[in-house]
Amino acid sequence: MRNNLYQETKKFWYQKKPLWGILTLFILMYYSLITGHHNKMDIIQLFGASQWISIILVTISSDFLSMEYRDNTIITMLYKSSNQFNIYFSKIITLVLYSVLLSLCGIVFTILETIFSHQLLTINILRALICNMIEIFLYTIFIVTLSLLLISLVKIDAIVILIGLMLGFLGATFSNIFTSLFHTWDRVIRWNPLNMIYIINQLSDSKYFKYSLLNNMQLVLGTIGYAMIFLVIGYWTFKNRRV
Amino acid sequence: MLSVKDVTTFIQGKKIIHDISLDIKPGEIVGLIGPNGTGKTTFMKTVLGLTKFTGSISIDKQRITENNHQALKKVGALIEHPAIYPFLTGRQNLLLYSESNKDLEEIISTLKMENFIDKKSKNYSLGMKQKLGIGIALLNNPELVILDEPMNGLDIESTIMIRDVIRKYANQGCMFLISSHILGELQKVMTQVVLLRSGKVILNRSMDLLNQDSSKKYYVQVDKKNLIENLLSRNNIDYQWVDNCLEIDSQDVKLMQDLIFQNGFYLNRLEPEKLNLEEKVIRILSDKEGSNNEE
Repeated sequence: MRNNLYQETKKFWYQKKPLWGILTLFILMYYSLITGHHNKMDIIQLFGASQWISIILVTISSDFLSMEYRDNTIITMLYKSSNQFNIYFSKIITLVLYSVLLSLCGIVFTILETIFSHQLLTINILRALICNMIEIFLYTIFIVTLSLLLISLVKIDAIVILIGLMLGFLGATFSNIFTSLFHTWDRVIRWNPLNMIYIINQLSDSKYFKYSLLNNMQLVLGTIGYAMIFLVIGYWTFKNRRV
Repeated sequence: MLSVKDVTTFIQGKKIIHDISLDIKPGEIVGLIGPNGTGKTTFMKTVLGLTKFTGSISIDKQRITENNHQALKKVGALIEHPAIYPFLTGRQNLLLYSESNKDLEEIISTLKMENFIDKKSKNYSLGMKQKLGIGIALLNNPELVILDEPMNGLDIESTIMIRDVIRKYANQGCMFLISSHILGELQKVMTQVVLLRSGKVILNRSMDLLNQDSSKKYYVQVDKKNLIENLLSRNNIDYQWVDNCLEIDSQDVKLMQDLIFQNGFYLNRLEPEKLNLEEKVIRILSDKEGSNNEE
């Protein structure tokens, strides 16, 4: 496992894509900064960082697995590794660690922006920022496991990225439509995977409860639960994929 | 020793490999040959534990299964195309799998990769990629090396070098399982030949034995042609003239010799037909096809 993790980390950073990902995050956060209201809510939401991070992660995650098939390196990885789970899991760990780095970049950007624009960085804001980081962390586990599952199933990067973008931008809207269409079933429908997207807002802003219909604990458990389901199905698909 | 016993491989429910049994001892170079789509690559992948199979595969009595690759720690392979990350340099690709720097440097110098090893591998030619792929397979002093079409894209100089490298490693006790369509090239290194057709082994023989027993025709040069022709015809021995020589089947050689000597004639020349590996394989395949049709 240690060997797999070493290989994955090395491969990951030798690509230029993760660095481009960080740069893209800064550009998109800056875009949110200049087009937004620049209020307390924008700061707490890290200028939309959670949404941007999820899009960056979908793009990078799907490529990080599909490149192994594209370059035929999967064969060497599979026979050199003592079991397939080590390969799959070390990819997930590498991507989750990258998401932590991205959210740290988001926080640094937000803090620096707050300082330069002479706004007061209160304890409450700092607490909300940390809360937001936890939200991002949980959501990225969900996104990374989902991306690897999708790329194992559909095998085409573009489709996975498209699904990721739709999930990032429209997932919450779809979830609301479902809930309002079948409101008599809302006790069940609120547990749909699209509803877990609210985790990126709700822990730091409780008003989102009226949309998600799940309390914070339920949302955390739901997100982790779905991530586990995606991990198990994704690994099973990866294991049974022909090389 | 690599031991393959009654291995059958299924892909999407279809039987691709049928009950193959095969042993490779240290120092042996086994050539896996056969027509396209006959299961050579699938068999190699099966040995690497990459496909579902029944039967048993073990290296030094340690079993390989689809989920247990412990026995593959000392195995190197190049299957289909070189497994290379294009965004890494050749050296970085080797470093991903290398256990010692000394070994890595030795591979680089043995395969004469010094000139390009520190360049990004996306800019490599097919031959350079092939050399790097072979380099990855040879890392960490493997006990078994599996090479699928190793001479693809290599120039003459590199082909000769790879051939020498294979011999060198085999002399040190490394086992090789190599498939190639360039049979002439394979013939120069392999010690044992395994011929596959439709996923079945139809020939498994050492090269020494193959060289001895494959002559089905003999060429005979004689004086007094007419008299000898009469003699052979009277005794129902089939023959034909080829370039002033009599061509007869090997099964008739003994009878022909006896008849000639008993009748006071003598032979100027008697020699078996010399076939290269390609011709032998074509003959074996056509013979098997003939016997299958008869069945």
